Amino acid sequence: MDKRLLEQLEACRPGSSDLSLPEMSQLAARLASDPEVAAHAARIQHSDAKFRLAFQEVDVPDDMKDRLLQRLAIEAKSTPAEGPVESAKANWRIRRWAIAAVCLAATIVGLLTAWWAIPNHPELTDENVEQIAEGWFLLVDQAGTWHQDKRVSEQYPVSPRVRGKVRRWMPLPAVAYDRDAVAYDLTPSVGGPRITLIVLRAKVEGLMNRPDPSPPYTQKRSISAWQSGNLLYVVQVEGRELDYSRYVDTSSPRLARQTPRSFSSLIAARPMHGVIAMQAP
Amino acid sequence: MADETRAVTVERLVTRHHAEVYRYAYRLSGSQADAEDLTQQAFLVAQEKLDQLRSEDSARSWLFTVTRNCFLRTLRGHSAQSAAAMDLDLNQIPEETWDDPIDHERLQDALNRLAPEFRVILVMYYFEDCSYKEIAEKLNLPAGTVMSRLSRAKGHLRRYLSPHGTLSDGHQ
Repeated sequence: MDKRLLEQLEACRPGSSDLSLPEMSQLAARLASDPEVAAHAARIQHSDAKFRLAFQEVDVPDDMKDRLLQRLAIEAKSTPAEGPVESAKANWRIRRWAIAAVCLAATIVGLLTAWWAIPNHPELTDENVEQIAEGWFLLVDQAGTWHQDKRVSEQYPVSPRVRGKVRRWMPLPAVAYDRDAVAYDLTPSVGGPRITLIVLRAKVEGLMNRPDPSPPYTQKRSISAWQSGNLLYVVQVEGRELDYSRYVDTSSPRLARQTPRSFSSLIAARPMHGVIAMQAP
Repeated sequence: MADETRAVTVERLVTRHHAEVYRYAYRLSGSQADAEDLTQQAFLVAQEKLDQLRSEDSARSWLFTVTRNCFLRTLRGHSAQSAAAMDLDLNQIPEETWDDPIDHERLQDALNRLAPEFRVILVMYYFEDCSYKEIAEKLNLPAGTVMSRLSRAKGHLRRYLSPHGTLSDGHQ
């Protein structure tokens, strides 16, 4: 049996009309006239029927539906409202982008205004650091302008301290001190904790060089900041308290040269000398 | 109101099709974790592009397409395996039928050993019940290429899963 006929035989689905297609006429004739080929065809169809059933037999996790719905609800919250399904595509896109642009602009203006309204803004204190970090995550939630291409910027690399793959990213222009930042979504899986990492080219004096081993857990989220070279990392883990230690590596660097100060200890001790020194991007 | 309409529809899609999409994703990706990720990605894309769905009757097929595209996107950057690299004997017509049930883990193991461009075709053929012409159209491949890959991939499965058959490693 030649290769072409064999391939045609393999392509015919059991119980279908594939064999009646004009291009299958030679195969049909051969099947009708050659009992050996007909027997081969029967065996192929027998195994095909078994495979077809076996392909469908996969156990689905019990809570799959609930976790999906939960994840979609979170996503819907952070995505700008869209037009009705049946509306014209062009109008829908224009409206969507307009809403997103207005939200983003309003958020940025609001954050910048709030930031510049704070007296002595270059000083990093326990209060304004937390406010600033929370403001960034608020900005990420409200902007919702994620890029889905999983690209990682060389200038704003993801910290190996956070376990997870980049799902998407978002530029945060002029987020603080007129400096740009990048947010990465590192959420691991359906229904799991939501992990957002913000990377900023900035230096915070006195900030530890690893994530806080036990950051405050409030409103079902933990936020921790740390310094790595000229990069300031802030991670937010939304989920259970234990999720933070599962996805954030807080171990001490092997060659740490100074006693690290944790982000939360900065807050607790209310230091007066934390000063952010911005680095040129 | 529009948001409510959309949310209900997405919820309905999840309720009706999440199991099938997960199974499809599992056969494509080969592991529970990857299948969960892929299913999530597919429904997130579905939520975003819901306006492309013309009617709910075509939702199943549309969701499979979205899932497949998500899977294929994850492969970008991976080196594609050529057909020639699949050192399979084309003459794979089974010499006998076997009636033992198929071991599901072994089936997935056999699929995982296939290069993705073969696995996708096999999953579309067996899972979606697509004809070779439909596969060719959806993947934008020549019909002859689909027939050839399908034949090789089916031969691989039969050889791997036959009670008397074995397959040495390296047949990806």
